[in-house]
Amino acid sequence: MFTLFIIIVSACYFGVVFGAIIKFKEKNVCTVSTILFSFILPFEHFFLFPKHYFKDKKNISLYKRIRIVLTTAELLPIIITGLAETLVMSGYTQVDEEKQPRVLEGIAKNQYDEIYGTLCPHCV
Amino acid sequence: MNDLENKELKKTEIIVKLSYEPNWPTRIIFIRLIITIVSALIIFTDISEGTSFFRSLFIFCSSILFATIGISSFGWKQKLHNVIHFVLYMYITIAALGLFNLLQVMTVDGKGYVYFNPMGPMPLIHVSTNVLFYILVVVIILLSCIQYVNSYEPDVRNLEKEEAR
Repeated sequence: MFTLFIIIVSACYFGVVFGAIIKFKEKNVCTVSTILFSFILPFEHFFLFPKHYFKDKKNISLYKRIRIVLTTAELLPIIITGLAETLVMSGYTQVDEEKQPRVLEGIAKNQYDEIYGTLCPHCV
Repeated sequence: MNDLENKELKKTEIIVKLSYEPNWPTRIIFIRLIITIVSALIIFTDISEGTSFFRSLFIFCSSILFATIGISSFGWKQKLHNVIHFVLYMYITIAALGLFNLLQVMTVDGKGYVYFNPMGPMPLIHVSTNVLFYILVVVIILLSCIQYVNSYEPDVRNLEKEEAR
């Protein structure tokens, strides 16, 4: 059973990573930084951002926390699409390749802030 | 005057609007994935000798293949789909060989092994059913996760409506 659990978790992780890389490739924004970002993305999306969100708001009940986590899982395709679209648009502003990781981080943070902002009235 | 000054500055602003709605394709993918893994677990546990295992494996893999064969895509997504289809075809072939009695199932200490008929050309090859199960689970989860990540496309018409307002 433990082997099955490990296999399911690792397959989910690599599935999300490959899916994100394919999405970036489709939009012609697949660079080294975006590939590295897609490897970190599952950790950020499922652990870091919910953790930071729950740190700020400690009065949320367990039921609502579970609802938020489930909603976060639903939001991943929207976030990846938004990231890819924004990168396509930022391509017009001619960002240097060295600065691109910073731009990526900034876009991701803004998107998560907006999304958790929209989550607030519905879930909390 | 102000308009002229703004034109001279040539500022560009990127505004990205995200709208959250209940994402039913994602939910359907999750539900389908859970049902598929549970049914795969049922097929691969308590395997008995005979053709019943191969029959259920044939029906299971062919149903997944028929469900995913209509997905048309381009580039890397299509290549990955082709790889997954190839693995599913392999499983259907194994099941078909079992149905024709060229492959047989043997159980040792509760563990199942698939092997070629001793009268056939390759009698010494044994493959554990656990290995077959793990490969199948990895393939199904990879396919579902890639579908899940790529399940959303921005609706251009909504943006046009917002601009019109």
